[in-house]
Amino acid sequence: MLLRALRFVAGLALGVWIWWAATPVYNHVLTPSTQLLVHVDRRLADAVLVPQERKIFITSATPLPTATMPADQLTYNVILLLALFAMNDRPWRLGNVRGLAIALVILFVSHCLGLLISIESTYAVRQGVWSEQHYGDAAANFWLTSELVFRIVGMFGVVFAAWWALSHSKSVST
Amino acid sequence: MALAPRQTRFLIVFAVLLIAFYAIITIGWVDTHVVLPFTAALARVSGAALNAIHEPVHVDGTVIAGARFAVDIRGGCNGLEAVVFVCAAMLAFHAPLRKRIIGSLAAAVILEVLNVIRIASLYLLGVYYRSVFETFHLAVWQTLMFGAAVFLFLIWTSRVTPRDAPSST
Repeated sequence: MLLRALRFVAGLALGVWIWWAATPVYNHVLTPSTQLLVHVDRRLADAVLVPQERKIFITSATPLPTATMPADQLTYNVILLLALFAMNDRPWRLGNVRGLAIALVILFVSHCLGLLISIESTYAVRQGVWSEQHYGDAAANFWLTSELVFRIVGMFGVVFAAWWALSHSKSVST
Repeated sequence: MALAPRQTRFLIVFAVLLIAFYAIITIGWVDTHVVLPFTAALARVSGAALNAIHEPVHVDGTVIAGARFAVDIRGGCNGLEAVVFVCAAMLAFHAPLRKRIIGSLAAAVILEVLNVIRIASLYLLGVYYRSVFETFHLAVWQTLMFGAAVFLFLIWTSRVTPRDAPSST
């Protein structure tokens, strides 16, 4: 268990470095996919997502209010994912690397959904009169609750579930 | 990679319990009468720990303040999210109910002790290394808390799973 703990810490250190260094580039990957999802909502159909370093700026040629999303705060769960896969026995074996690759795809999808939820929540409750005119109370509560669930426990729940399902670790069994 | 039915059941029950427990701690009455007093108590313990290492602070509600820096412990920083996480995982796991409850309680205590260290260390970072405070607040400590939760879960599963049980992940 001590060796696993050391591998976890090494994976965590690597994860922090990757997350910190790659976030500006990753935001360029995250933005187009999320913009497609955002445009499904007609209220936000004209929103243009522009990555700016660690944040994503939302602008539009229409009267849609602008907003800034702290994208890095929605993606740092990759650190835990890397730490968990580093903790597995023989982390460089093909099965573990393949599991990590699949988990990263799952994580990317969850990041797109997480960013979508945060954008919806921002426009539903933090845009003053515009929010009141375009979102009802039920919709505003739904998006705000979804954002809190994702940011507090959901983003780590996804990581744990992906690691659990894809890991080859033999010390764990249900 | 197909999952065994028991593993699938575990993941589904885990997800349901995670959302249910989180929903419970966000209910207004629970927040006012349980979470806030608990967080204030956590602030007092963390303040006492800082005073014990000769870092003079005073505590007012959920705020720990010194001469140069102050932290306000809010939802998401009181460790309850990691406690909820590990309790959901342990209670979803196929093991005797008594062991699940004892494991959950023990993990909750350990995680909150770790959380006192988190709060104290974040205060010290805020005082002496302000430039790295946000990175540690957001990325490092949050990951460590959930990592610790996973570790506790793994240690617990290795104790409650019979040695001759088939390992299947």
